[in-house]
Amino acid sequence: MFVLKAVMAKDLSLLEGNPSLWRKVRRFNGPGQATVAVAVEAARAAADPSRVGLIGLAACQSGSSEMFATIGTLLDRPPSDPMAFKFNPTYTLHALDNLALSVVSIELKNRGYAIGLGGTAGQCWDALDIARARLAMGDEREFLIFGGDQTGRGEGSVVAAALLLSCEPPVATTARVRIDTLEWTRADESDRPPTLHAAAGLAEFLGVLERRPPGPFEYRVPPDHGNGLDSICIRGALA
Amino acid sequence: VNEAVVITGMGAVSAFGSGVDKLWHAVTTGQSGIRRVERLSRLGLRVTTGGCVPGPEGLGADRHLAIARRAIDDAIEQAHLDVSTSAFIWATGLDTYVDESGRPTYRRSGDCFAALAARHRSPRRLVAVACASGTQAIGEAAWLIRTGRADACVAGGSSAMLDAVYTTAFAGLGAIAVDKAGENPGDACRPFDRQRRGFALSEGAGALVIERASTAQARGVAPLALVTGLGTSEDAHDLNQPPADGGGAELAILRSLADAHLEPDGIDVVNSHGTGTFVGDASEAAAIRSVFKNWRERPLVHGLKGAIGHAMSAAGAIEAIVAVMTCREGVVPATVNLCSVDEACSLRHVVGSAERAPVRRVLSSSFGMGGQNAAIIIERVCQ
Repeated sequence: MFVLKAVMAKDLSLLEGNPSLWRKVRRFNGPGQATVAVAVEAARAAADPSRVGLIGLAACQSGSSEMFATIGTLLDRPPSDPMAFKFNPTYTLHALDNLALSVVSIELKNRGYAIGLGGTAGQCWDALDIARARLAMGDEREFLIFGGDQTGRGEGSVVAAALLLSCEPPVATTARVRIDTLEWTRADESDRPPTLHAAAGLAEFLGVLERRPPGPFEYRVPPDHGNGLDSICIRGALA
Repeated sequence: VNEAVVITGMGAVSAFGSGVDKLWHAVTTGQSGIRRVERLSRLGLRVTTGGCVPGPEGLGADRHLAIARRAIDDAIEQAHLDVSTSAFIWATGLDTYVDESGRPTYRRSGDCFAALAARHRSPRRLVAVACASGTQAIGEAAWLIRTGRADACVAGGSSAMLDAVYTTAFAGLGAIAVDKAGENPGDACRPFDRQRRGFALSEGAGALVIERASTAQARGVAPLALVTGLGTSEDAHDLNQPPADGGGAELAILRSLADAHLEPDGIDVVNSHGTGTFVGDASEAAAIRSVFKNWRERPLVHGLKGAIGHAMSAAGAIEAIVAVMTCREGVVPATVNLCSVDEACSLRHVVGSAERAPVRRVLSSSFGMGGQNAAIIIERVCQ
């Protein structure tokens, strides 16, 4: 499968030029906003965004600042006070695991195959595997994988990544990554536990490939971006 | 590879306790497991009912693990499966705030999943499509096996979200049945009924061993049922409610039929999502009517959430287990608390008491908040 377009973001600048999208996501937390922004941007390169297979990567860092604020209120105020529990969980990424997937499907008017993965380490590689398998089977022609992370409790830093994948080589020469295989091999116990992330691993993977020369590549997922159990290897070629 | 995909083991933990037998007996005799939940009553909340799993002592993260492990171990034991050879596709639901020492404490869904997944081989996937997760996990497992990417897979879901935070949050969204003075807690959730006012939150787990027919045969294990179709879709409509015409749900059902190479009249029973929410039930009924043109006569439609509540990411898996039992026993449980069918929800409902019927295939569907839809088809093993 081929990477048609990759979009990464470490801030929300992508939304600055899209006031319509900003209005729709303005009440989400930072990672939620960034995830939707990179997904919509990557989908622009799709032949038909409404028919792209969708894989949303649910965030798996600790809860959003909004959620913690609500829980703090819950703890500090008498439970019989109805205001103590007043919040809308759809506005916090961690209260609804499929939030970004829902928003992206609405934005792209996409009613096709979709799955949300995540909430645990290393699911982005499974997302790549699902896309590769389904593209190879001809179930879909294109796939969009997207996710976003935050670090620690509170807003923290934002990392979001989206990949548009196709079973066919791109007509244009801008996309240069072809992914052939992903392999999971049970690893010995690692002294480096994985970081719980949705998109950080994908972002680093793409960053590493950017710096590599054309030709075949083999990418061994660093343990902190793995799943804590396997050694994960991705093979492909760079044009 | 396009070999038959069979279910060889099942484990269920629900408001009726641990074990498929207990669940099946309760749902076929019209019982409700929804009760007053002491830890909610103590806080004086607007919602004090739910489907609490009896048995596991204590609360907190260990409780979720205990519930999930019990279901998984039962399924593995029935299938005589070497767990190290099986993949794992599970849904643990969201990050949760669990009640530990009287105060909600943060718990990552990933921690629970990692503890459950460690003894399995890859792929190990955590499905996160809200209330559709359990159903999609089973469908994805079947797809993995059918396409030759795994020989066996443990699939399903677990949930332990029955606490103050979530009951109150869902009440804020108008999705849960808030307490009604003088009402029996078991009457709170009323799927497809005129008096419905939301679901009852519950906890539980459902686990299924899904594998290639030939690997089951090689071990001498008799299949319980087949999984023959998966369909998924997005509503692409609204974050909080489905479209009135059930268009997204209809697509998922049609895709599951296409995946199984079936026409609608090949389905005998629909095990509905039927949460008891005002908008959701009507939307689902519209989808079923649209797919099944002969809907006044068949398929038979029933739902379990009046009896066991809504176990979130576990719901679809527990319902799939009941679908297997429905095929095997030829008995369709009635929808508990469905007394007066809402006109907007008109279907060939099973009401009052369970019906005996020849059942070859059950369509089991789940629809997640935010618009993720999944449907699978369970088929009886023909001798």
